[in-house]
Amino acid sequence: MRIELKKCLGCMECVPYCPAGAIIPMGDKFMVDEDRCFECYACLTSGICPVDALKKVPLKWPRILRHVFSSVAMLHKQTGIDGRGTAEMKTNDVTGRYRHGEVGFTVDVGRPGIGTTFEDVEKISMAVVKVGVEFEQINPVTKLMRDKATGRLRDDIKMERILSCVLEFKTEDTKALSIINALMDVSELVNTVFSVGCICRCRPDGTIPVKTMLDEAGISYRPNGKINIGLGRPLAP
Amino acid sequence: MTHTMHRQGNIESLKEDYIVLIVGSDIPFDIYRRRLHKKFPSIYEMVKKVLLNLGILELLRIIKKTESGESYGNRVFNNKKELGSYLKRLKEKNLGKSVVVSGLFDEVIDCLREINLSPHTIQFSLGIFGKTQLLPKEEILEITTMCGHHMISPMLVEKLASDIRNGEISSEQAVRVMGKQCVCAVCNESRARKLIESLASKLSPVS
Repeated sequence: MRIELKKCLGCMECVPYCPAGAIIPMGDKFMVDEDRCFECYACLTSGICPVDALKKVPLKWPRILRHVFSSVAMLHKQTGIDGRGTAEMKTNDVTGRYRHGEVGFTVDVGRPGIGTTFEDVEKISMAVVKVGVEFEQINPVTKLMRDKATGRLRDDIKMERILSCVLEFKTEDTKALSIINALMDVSELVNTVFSVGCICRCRPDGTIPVKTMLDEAGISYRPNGKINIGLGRPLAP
Repeated sequence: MTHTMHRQGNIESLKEDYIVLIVGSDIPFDIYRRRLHKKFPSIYEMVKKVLLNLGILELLRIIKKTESGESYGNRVFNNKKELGSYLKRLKEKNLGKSVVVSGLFDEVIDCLREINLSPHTIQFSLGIFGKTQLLPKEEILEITTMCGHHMISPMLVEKLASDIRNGEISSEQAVRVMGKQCVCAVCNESRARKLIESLASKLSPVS
């Protein structure tokens, strides 16, 4: 984003709309701090500028990733959906992505609202891969890995700042606690926050294996979350 | 995307916050949008730009959100009773599409039990890890986490709360401003109104 200085009235109306806090004063007008800007276009979407001074600028690689991962209106080429990850557990009744005996994880890096660089994303992907995980193939971050065996990302993207992205992976249920421990360890090394989701298929008798595991290990979780209620028609038995 | 996960707040407040997503939505707007993007990405970008400039995306969002009770789309509920009744209708309709409910586990599972359903797959939120000292205060997070893409900035919430406190805008107007930023329309407006009124009441008026 850019603010056309000739047009800017210095009214400050756009300033609070920026999730990055990237709209900063320059004399009696305002400018966009390009390093902090996520290219999410939240300022533009608000329609708040009375003189239409907010302008998109053409984005080249790798800066275009800021927009791809931060704008809600952007469809990912890999997934065909507008969002930062895949349909993950939302369509598990149709796809069978997570099966009995497996535990899925979603790690929303930069969320809630702090943002992240891909450098920090890589620290997390490299930490969990050591335990043994299978990254979701069609996830946009997985597509940016230069080596899925190590969790390393492409070098040319690491300093790009995005509002958030989702690392998606699954592992055997016996490794789930080790993954959580690895996430706790790496949380000391990152310069941002991340929100962790833990997914499992429920058993036909109604028991929820992950809940039992978390309770026994004394790991706390929120009282609210997400439930797929099983109304989708499976692609295969 | 996990945009309806990780909502903050206490149990009393979350009892007024449920989201139902129907994934693989057959809303024509979504289908045509995806087809256009796939076959003619440059035209798609042009159309999107025009729609954004005309403010039509906002109109489409409202249309999706306010479809009549007999249509089946993504919905936000502020009470368990309406949630249960909507899930019952979805079950009877047998759309064959995945239905996902975000909310308090105990309450949602109660609703499912009443219509003889049980969870197929569950996602737990283990909370926020890392440099949590960077986060805004809890009262603000309760509002901003209702837009999982975080297009509602903490600074905007603070400004709107301050404007309410100073009598410059109503809480309804504040919620409309926030709702416009949440393009997915999963921000629960009635809960947001209560939360921002509470936040505003704790501020000192600026003379």
